[in-house]
Amino acid sequence: MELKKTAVAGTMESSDIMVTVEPRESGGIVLELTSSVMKQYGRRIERVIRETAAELGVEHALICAVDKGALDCTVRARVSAAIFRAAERENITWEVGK
Amino acid sequence: MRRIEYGYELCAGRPFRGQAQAELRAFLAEAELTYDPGIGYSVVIRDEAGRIAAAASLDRDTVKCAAVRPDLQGSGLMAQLITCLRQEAVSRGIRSLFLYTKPRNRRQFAELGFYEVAGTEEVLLMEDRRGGFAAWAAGIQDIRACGTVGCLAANCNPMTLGHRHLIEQAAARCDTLYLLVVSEDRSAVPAAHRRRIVEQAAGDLANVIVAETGRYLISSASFPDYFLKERAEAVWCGLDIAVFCRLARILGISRRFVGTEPLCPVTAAYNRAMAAALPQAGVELVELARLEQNGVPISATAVRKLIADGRWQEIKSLVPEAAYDYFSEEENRRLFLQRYQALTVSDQIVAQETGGR
Repeated sequence: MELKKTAVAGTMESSDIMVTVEPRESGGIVLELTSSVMKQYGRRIERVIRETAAELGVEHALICAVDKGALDCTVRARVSAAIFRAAERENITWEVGK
Repeated sequence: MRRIEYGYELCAGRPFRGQAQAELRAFLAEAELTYDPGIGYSVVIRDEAGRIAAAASLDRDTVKCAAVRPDLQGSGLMAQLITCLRQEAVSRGIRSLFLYTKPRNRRQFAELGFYEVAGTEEVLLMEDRRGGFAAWAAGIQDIRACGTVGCLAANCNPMTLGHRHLIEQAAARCDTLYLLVVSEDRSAVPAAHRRRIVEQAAGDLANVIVAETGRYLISSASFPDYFLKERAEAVWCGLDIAVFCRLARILGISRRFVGTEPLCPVTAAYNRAMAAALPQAGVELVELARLEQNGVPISATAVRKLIADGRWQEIKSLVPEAAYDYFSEEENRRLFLQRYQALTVSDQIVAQETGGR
């Protein structure tokens, strides 16, 4: 999916994650993650974010995420929403979450 | 306006005016903060009684005046405000944010995704991109740099023979000179044009590397007062110098050149502050005498006035050929006049608003 602009999704409230996606020309997916549960779940959150971006076909982007203890399904939903907004995709076919 | 938990209410102003702004000012005063006239967007959270519980504001790409009432700290109100400011910034096409705060709040904002750029004892500048500063510095760094590395920063609005003289003198006093042209686009000559003239008029000096100050140095983020001209509080001079020291470490800069400043009080104060602070960071400050013509220093202010008064031919003896050629184009003069007048008007507004503080 081609990203056209910078977009955000989510909030910084407890149990949520705020995701900012910025288009990049090259350099793959650069992830800047801040998490209140970094030590315990940092790697797992990073994996979920990278998987979601890959599933949506995003090759290059700067993804900044501020996590406040979001569950995997929330992380997935927020990353997807930010990517769809960044790609200016209006008719989104939401699939059943994994 | 939307309701949030416990009967609290969140409202936004673009910016607040009248009574709402007066309430915000009073709230900030209690937190030892001053409402900034550059603010374009504010969000406040009010408690059930309608009193302000927390507030934060946006001045272009910079979060300012962020505070939570002491009895409500730690309840997540700031996270809600920053969330709103981020959403607003993105909707305005602003990609990343800066933030000012007091050093004691470092951890709180780190948890909201902000990383330290530089700081002094009084103020901390943070950004919401971990690699922001490093990427900027890497963009300036030039592999040709060697030996004693110097740095000269100038607005060059527009470039004069006085600037050319300073650049020559500085370049002769080091092996490599980083010439940083101010990027902030708040001057009568557009930033890209200022830089292009400098590149043309200094291109013959082999050891000069022309780059830009970007969003970090002498920018509205690091040094807001520079663009207001009327005042230069020591706190902002200190912050800009702290940012420069971080850049100097990365680029190996050991000399910073400045012109003596007989006229502009802001630049004079900045030079004094650098003379005190730079040696501690291992950087020598070298003050260079300004080039004079008929007993007065050549000044870009005087050049701007001549162009504004329609006497642009008279700048010929004051500016390098590249600048004269630039203003020979009618289109460039028209653009200059538009921006010159707009800036004069907005400066007066700012002066009025800051005058009462």
